[in-house]
Amino acid sequence: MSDNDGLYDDALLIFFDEAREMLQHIEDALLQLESSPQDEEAVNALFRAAHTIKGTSGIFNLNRVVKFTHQVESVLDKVRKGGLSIDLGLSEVLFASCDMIANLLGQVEKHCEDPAELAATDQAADLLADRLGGYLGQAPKHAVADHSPEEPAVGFTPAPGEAVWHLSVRFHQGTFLSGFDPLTVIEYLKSIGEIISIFTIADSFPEWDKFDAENCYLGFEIRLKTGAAKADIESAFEFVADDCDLRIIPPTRRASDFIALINELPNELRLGDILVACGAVTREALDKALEVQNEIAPGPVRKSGSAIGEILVAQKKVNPEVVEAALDRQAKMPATAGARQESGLFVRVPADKLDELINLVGELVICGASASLQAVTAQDAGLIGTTQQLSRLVEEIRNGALGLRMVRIGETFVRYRRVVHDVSTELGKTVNLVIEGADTELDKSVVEKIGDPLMHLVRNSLDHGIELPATRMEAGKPPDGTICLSARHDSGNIVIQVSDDGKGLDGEKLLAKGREKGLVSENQILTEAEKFDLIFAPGFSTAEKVTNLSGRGVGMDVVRKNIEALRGSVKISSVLGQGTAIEIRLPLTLAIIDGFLVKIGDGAFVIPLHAVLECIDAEPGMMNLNQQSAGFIKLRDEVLPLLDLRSVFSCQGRKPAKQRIVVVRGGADAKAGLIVDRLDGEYQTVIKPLGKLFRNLNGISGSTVLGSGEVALILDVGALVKLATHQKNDEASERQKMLMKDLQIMGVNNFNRG
Amino acid sequence: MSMKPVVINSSFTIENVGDIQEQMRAILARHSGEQKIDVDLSEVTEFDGAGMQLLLAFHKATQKMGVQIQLNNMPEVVSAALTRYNVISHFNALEPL
Repeated sequence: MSDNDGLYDDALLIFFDEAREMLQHIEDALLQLESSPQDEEAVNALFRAAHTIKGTSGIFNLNRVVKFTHQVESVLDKVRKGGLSIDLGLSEVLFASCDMIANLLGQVEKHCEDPAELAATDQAADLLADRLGGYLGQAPKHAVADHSPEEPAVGFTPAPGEAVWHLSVRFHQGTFLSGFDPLTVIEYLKSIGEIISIFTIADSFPEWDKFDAENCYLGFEIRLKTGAAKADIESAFEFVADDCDLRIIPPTRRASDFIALINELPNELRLGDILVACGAVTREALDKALEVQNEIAPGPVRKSGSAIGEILVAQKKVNPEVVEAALDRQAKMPATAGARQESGLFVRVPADKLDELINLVGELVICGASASLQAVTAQDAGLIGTTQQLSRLVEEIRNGALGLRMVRIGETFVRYRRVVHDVSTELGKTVNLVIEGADTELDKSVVEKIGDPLMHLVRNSLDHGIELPATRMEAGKPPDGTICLSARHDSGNIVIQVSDDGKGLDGEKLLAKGREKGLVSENQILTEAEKFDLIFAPGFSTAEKVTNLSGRGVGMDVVRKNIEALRGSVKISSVLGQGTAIEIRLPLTLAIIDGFLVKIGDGAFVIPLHAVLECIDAEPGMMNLNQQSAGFIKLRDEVLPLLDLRSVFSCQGRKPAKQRIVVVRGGADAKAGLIVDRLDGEYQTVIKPLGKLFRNLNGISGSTVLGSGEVALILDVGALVKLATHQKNDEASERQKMLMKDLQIMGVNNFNRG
Repeated sequence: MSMKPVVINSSFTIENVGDIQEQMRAILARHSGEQKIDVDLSEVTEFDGAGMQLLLAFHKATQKMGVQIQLNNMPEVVSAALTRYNVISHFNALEPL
C-alpha cells in the first residue's frame, strides 16, 4: 500500500497547486465583478472554482474544507441563479471566504495538528459560514462560541470521516469460466471500506431459453464508504480487470457523472432509478440533468418526473456530440475540462530537477569551451570543426534548458490585484491596476525573488503615491487612481516598471529629510535623481504618518538590496503632482551570462556582455589618471570616468605597452571606462557564486571556470562604475584592498575551486 | 396439484449450475398452469455468484410465465447472500431453516 500512499500524497500536492489556482480564479472573478457587476461569465467562473475546490476536497476527505466551501458554493449558486447580487458587502465576505479556504487548505498542507489553532480556525470558519448563511436566509448557527460539528449542510451530507464512492461494475460472460466469483471480489471490498448498499443488476440476462448458467451476466451498483484512494479500489478488481467493466465515480455527487454512466449503459433502462434508490444521486438532480439534455436535444420534450427509462429511450436518438455538449454544460466544469486538456500538453516537473539539468548544462558549457580551446591548441582542423558544431549544439541546449524555466510574469502581477483591492479599500481610495506586458517571460527563480520587492513597491504606491479621491479632485485629476505594472524585454534584461499617477515625490522634502537624518551634509548639492535616490537610503521614510502598511522606513533600502542581489538595478523617476515611476532592471536568468573576457596581468575577468558598450585603445596621452586608479578621458567630447582595474584589483603580472579601455554601462545612464590589458572576446559563462569569505567584495559578483581550468572573476559593473564616478578612499575600500591581496596570495588560480 | 419441486444439492455453485438449469428447464417445460413452483434449498451448503444468478434468471423466466416460485428451507448461506445483494425481495421465501 505504500506505493498507493505515495500516489495519494502526490495527487494531494497537485490538488493543493490546483486549489491555489482556483482561489486565484475566485479572486480574479470577484475583482472582475467589482468593475462589471453584471458579468455572468465571472459569476459562473466564481461558482465553478468554488465547486471544483469543494469536489476535489471531498475526494481527499478534507471535510473541513468541504463543509466551508459548500456554504460558499451555495451562496454563489444563488448568485448564479439571480437570487442574489454581489454587492460590496458580499464581495468582502467572499474575499474573506477565499482567504479562509486558503487557510484551511494551508493547515492540511502543513499537517497542522495543534488543536488550539484548528479550533480557532474552525470557529472563524463557522462565523464566516454564518455570514454567508445570512445571504441564504439561514439563521446563524454559531452565535455562541461553541459549535456543533454535526451541522447539516443543505442538500449535501459529507460522510463524517470518509467519503462515499460509487462503483459500477459489469462482469463479462467469461468471468465464471476464468475461475472467478463476482461475489468474492465484492466481499473483498469490505477490506478497504464499508459497503453501504449494493444493487444487483440482472437487466442484461438473456431470455431463459438462451440463458447459459455458466456464463456471467451479473452487474452491480455499489456504494462504498472508504478513505482509500481510487487506485486502492481499483486494485480490489485487479484479478478480474479483464473480465469486467469497472466505473468508479468519486464522491463528488455530480449528476453529470451518473448521466454519463447511464449513457454508457443504454440497455439498462432501470439504471437511473437504481442510482436514485441507492442514494448515488438525487431524483431532482438527475431529472434536472436530463432535462437540460432534452432542452438541447432535438426530440420530444419530457416532463420532469417521467420515467428515466423513457427519457433514455428518447436519448438514444440524440446525436452524441449534442449530448456531450449538453453534458459539458450541465457539468458546469468547462474550466476543469480545459485543465484536463492542458494536462495532456503540459508536464509537471519538480523545480529541483530542472535546476539540476541547468547545472549540468552549465558544466557542459564549460567543458565545451575547454574542448574548443584544446582543439585550437592542437591545430586539428577536423577537431576544430567538430567542437564548433558542438559549441553550437550546446548553446542550443543551453537556451532550451533555460527556456524551460521561463515563466510569464503575468502570474506574479495578477497577485497584486488583490493587494491593490484590499489596500485601497482600507485606505478609502479607489485604484485601478493596469497590467502591461504580462506575457513577458523570465526565469522562475528571478520571478520568485522579485515578488516581495514588487509587493513593497505596489504598497508604497498605494499608500504614499495615490491620493485620496477628494485630494485628487482638488488637484484636477480623476478621482480614481491608476497603478500600472508593466514588463518588457530590453537587451538581455527584463525591465519591470511600477508607476502611479499619484502625488509624486517632492525632491525638496526628500532633501530636507535627508539633511535631518544626516544622510546629506548641509552644503551638499544634489541632482533631482540623487534626491529621489535618497528614499533607498536605510532608515529613510517620508510618510508623515506611519500606517500599518508602510512608512516604517524599513522598506525601500531592502527593496534595493534585494534587486541588486539579483544583479539588477532600480531607478526612480517622478514628477511632483503627476506621479512616480520605479523601474527595475533585471537579468533574465541567474545561472548563465554572456560575458566579455578580459585579461589584466595574470588574472582573467569577465564583464557581463550586456554592459559592454564599446572598446577603445587607451592612449596614455589622452588619459588623466590620479594615483588612486581613477581618472577620466575625453571621449567624443564627453567626459568618461576611468577605472584602472589593474590597481583596483591589485593585479600581478607585467603591464603591456598598450592597454585597452572597455566602456561599460552600469545602471541606466552611468557610463565608465575600465582599463584592462587585453581583450579576449565574447565568452559564454556559468556563474558560480563566490565563497562566503569573498561575498562582500565590492566589484565582483561571482566567478567562473574557463576552458583552460583557470578561474575568472565576474565583474560587478554597477559597483565598478559607482567606484569610478564616486571615488571614495574610505575604510571599506581599504578592507577591499586587503581582501584582494589575500585573494592574490592564495592564488587566484585555485580560488573557489572544489 | 403442486408440481414436483426443484431440489438443489449441496453445491449451488458454478460447478453445478449447468445441471440445475437443466432440471429447472425440464420442470418449466412440463409446467402446466400451476401458479407456484417450489424450490427446495435445504440441501444447499455452498452458494456463489453463479447460483445467485441462476436463481434470478429462473425468477425472471417464471415471472414472465405468470408463475411464482417459492424458495423453501433456505439455509443461512443463501439467505445472507440474497439479502446482501438486495435481491431477496424478489422471492417468496419461507422462514429459513
